[in-house]
This record gives sequence, C-alpha cells and structure tokens, in this order.
Amino acid sequence: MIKISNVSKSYTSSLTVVKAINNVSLDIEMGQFISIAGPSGSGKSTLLNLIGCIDSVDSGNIEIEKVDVSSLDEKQRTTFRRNHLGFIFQTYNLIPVLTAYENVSFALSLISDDQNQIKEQSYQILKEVGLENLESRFPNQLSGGEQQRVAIARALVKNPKIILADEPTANLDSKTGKGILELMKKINQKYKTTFIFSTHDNMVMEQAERLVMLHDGMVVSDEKN
Amino acid sequence: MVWLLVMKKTNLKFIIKLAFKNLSRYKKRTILTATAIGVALLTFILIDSLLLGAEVESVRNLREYETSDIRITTPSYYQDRLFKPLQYAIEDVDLTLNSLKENNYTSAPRISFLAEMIIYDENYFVSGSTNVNVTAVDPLIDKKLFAFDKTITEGSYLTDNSHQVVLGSFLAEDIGATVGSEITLVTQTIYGSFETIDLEVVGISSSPNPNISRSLVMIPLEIARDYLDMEKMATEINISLSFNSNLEKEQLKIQSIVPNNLKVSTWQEFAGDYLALAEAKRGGSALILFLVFVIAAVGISNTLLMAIYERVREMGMMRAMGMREKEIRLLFVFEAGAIALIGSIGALILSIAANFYIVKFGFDFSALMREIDIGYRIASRMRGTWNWKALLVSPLIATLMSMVFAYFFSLRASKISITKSLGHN
Repeated sequence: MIKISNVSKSYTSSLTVVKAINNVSLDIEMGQFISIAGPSGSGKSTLLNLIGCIDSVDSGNIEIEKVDVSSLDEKQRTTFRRNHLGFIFQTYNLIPVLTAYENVSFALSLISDDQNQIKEQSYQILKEVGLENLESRFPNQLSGGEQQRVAIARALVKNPKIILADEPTANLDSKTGKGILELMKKINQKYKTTFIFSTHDNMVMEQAERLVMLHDGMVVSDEKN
Repeated sequence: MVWLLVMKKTNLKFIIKLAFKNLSRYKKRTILTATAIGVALLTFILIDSLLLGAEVESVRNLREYETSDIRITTPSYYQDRLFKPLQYAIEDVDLTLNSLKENNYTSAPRISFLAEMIIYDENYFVSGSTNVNVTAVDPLIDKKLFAFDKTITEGSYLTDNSHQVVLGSFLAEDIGATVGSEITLVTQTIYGSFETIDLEVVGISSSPNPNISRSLVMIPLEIARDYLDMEKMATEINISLSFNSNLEKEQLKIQSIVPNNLKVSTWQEFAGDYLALAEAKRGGSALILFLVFVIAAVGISNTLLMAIYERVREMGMMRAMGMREKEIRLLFVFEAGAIALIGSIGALILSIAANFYIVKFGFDFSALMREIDIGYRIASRMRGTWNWKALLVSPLIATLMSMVFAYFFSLRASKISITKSLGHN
C-alpha cells in the first residue's frame, strides 16, 4: 500500500513560490495500474517524484509498504530507490555507451553481486520485453520503441515493487506507444508490479484501471476505469 | 578510501567499465586532452633533464677547474677572498702539504693574485691593458688535481718554472694572443711594492668551464713566489677527493690534520655566486614549469567540465536508479585519471626516447656561451641527465591532479537535485 497523506511541495521560481502539490492525500493499492493525469503544471511529475523518493516533501508524509519514505534522509532514499523502485522516463535516459544488455544489467548490478544471476535475469527480461537478439545493440542503433523497451526492462529487472513512469509514451508514435502500454499492462498482470504513470496521453488514461486527475497541485477527481 | 574498499565489487567494476567506454565516446576530445597533458609532462621532463644536467656538469667543471673539492686558506684570507689579500697567505705551506700527504690526500698549493695585464701593439693589434686574476701553480703537482693539461688546444701546458703563461682561449682570442706572444703583468708584492712580470704565452687552454676560458692567466708558482716575495707561501691549498666523498666528513677530518690557524672550506663555500645563481634559476625554472602545468590544467578542466555538464541528465538518471553520488563522482575521477594516464604514458615513452638524445648529444650552445655568461659552467654542449624521480613522479602528479579536478567539478554537478538533473538539457 502507498499512503500519501496531506502532502505539499513548493518550488521557488524567480521570486515566486509555486505550490506544485497542495495538500494531496491518496491511497494506492499495490499491484494497481494507475494514471496521474492533468494539464501542464498540475503537479503530476512532482507527485511522481515525491512517491519515487527523488524529491522530498515539504509537509505531510508518504508511506510505502509501511515505510515512511518522507522521513528518510538522502542516503536512505537512495537505498530505497535502489532496492524497491523502478523508473521509466519520457526520454528513455539510456546510457549511450552501453549496449541494451549493459543498460539493463547495470540496474541489477546495483543490488546484486552474482554475475550469473545478473546475466540470466537481464537476458530473460530483455526477452520478456521483446528484445531478444538485440541485446548487443547500442541505443542509437535502436528505434524509439525499442529504446523504451530497454528502459522498461531496466526498470523491471530488479523486481521492484513499484515502477514510476513519467510520460513514457510522449516521444513515441501512437502505434509504438500502444505496444509499450500493452507490454507494461502485461507485466503488471504477470508480476503484480504497481505501475504509476504521469501522463496527459488519452490512450494511457484509458488503459489505466484508475485515473487520478490533478489540477493546480490538488486532486480534482479519482476514478476507477 | 575505506568506502572504496567496502563498495560492491560489481559497482566498482561497472564504474571502471563505464569510465573507459566514455573515454572512447569522445575519442577526439580524449586524445586532445591526453595530448595536452602529455605535452606538458614532456616539456617538464625534458627541461628538468637539461637543467639538472647543466647543474651536474657545472658542478663537475667547477670542482675540476675552479674550486677543487676542499680548499685551505687562512681565515682572514677567506674573509677577504675577493680582494686576494696576499698578506693573509699561508706561511710555510710545506708543513701542511706534508701532513696532508701523510694522510693520503692529494693536494696542491696555489697563489692567486690580481694584476694588470699589459699588451703592446708590436705583438698585438692594439696596445692596452686589462685587469686579470692570475693563478700561480706548481706545474707538476697541480695537474694531479686540475685537468688543465688536458685542455690545451695550442702550444703546451706549463713545463717548468720559467717565465711562461697559459691563457684561457676566450681571453687569448679577445686580445689576439697566440703561442709565442708576450704579455706583461703589473702587480703588487706582499709588501705592497709594484712589480712587473714579463711572460711568454706557451699554451692556450680551452676548458669545458667557460669562466676559465674567459679569464685564465696561469703562471708557474715559483715565478709568483719570486716576484711577490712569497717564499714558501701560498694563498690556498687545494685538495681533490673522489666524486662521492662525504664532503662534510672529510672537511672535519682535514681540519683536524692541518694547523689550527687554517680554515678548511668545501667547494660550496667558494662557489657562492654559482650556487646563488643556480638557486635563483631553479626558482625561475620551477615557476615556468608550474605555468606549463597550469596551462595543461586549464585544458584538462575545460574537457572535464564539458564532459560532466553534458552528462548531468545521465547522472540524474543514475541517481534515480539508486547509484550514490560518491559512485558517480568516482566515475568521473576514473575517467580523468585514465585520460591523464594515457597522456602520461605517451609522454613517458617520448621523453625517454628524447632524453636518450639529449643525454648523449645535448644541444650545442657554444656560440651563446662564448658571448654571454649565463651562470652555468658549460662551454659548449648542454646535456641532459636521467632524473628517474621526475620521470616517475611527474606522471603520478599529473594523474592525481586530473583526478582531483574531476572530483571537485563532479562534486558541484552532483549537488544539482535529481529533478533538475533529469530536466537538464
């Protein structure tokens, strides 16, 4: 369970203080396929970053499986992310000098020393996402969709409890985006991994089993699909 | 450092692997930066070799042609040595020479005095005079310490105690003297009365020590004793030791052998001018070399900053994945160290090859040395020497310097928040 209780977060932009998240409370069951949507500036990426322990709350608290992540220090948050969370970014953020296999195995090597396990699991997950035989390709030798599949594999390889995806289909054409979405849905159903998306893509919103709408940093609706 | 040891093996392996992959990511930049470091190092090593070689050779030429290793004078003579005060000469010098001989020291007496050298136009292009520093030696004994007999390029070394003079080659050239020319020395005896000494040039000496070639006027000791009323006297006794002798130890031993009224000095005490100049040169050279390193450092910094700030987003992603800031900094430290190491190895190979040449052949500065006294006691070729400390230590310093720069630059970049890093363009 992810419990978000009265969380607020502000940023200072020039001389203005912007309240990106304003007293948001939300409970997310593990295994859900949930979409956080809203117009630009609504706070969806901020909320994702707070859940993902990339950023810290100003007030309120966030509990993930009974761990109060909002009270962790930077080092502890890093450890938590390393062990329990996976990330998928809009711009893939693959390391360009590493092959698809190396990009994936790097994530697993952060938590495991077993070379055999790393190798086996990485190849397995690449096969799972449909990239068998493309393991030795560099990111610039892959299409956008293939790169995003590598990113998904990288997020998934360490069996995280939660995967946070920030606009994962924004840089993809609709057909490829649909394919990616179906892959993530399949993974969600197979492994019961919680997927939390930040998106303003209708296709993603439609696929999500729950849709949380944000506006000006506040939850304006929270509906099950 | 402890953290480095407890870091997971796989993390360290990954960081090293990624560091080397990133080096080949921008090959041109890596090569350019490594080249800048390499050129700086090569410059430093070769200049250091030449300067050290010049110092080593200067000291050798100083000891073999000017100061010997140990010099005995009276304390009063030592104090006013620039004025060559004959009244403070060593009396009954044979006593001291015998004591030294009994203790197996090779020693030779000399009289050093100031004179005016006069030349007449019947023998030369013009007539005139110049002040000279005359060195009176025992022709048989003196050549056991000083190698002047081997430096004669025209005529011969002093053969006996007749009215002979050997001139330095630069001096001879300047006044137009050749073997057979005549000169007259006007000087004062030990009692202050004036004397003139007519001498015939029997030899011209071209010494590796340009100071000698510029100023040598060497006459037999007995001639000087006769004209200066200095029977059985000498202004100095020179002693030659083996090159690796412990000078301070020998100085103390000799002091215990000779009469108490004499002062025993090492060559450094008589080469104050050279040592002061060498020290100043070392300071100046160190400054130049420091500037060379600074220029290379600027080049490295530029490359490192570009590499780091181009990868801020990548750093953000890695931190989001759970890599620690220290691990990311280590990545850049390894990259910088690797670039510096590549440059250093290249420089080392090239400098060893180049140093072979400059140690064996050196550079011919004879034209310069003839005209200008640059302080080094080198007449023609400036050769390098093997300074293994510089060869081994300077690449290490260059590598460490790069790593330190990388650490501090990446420290700044890693302080950027993950959210800002991920949004960085």
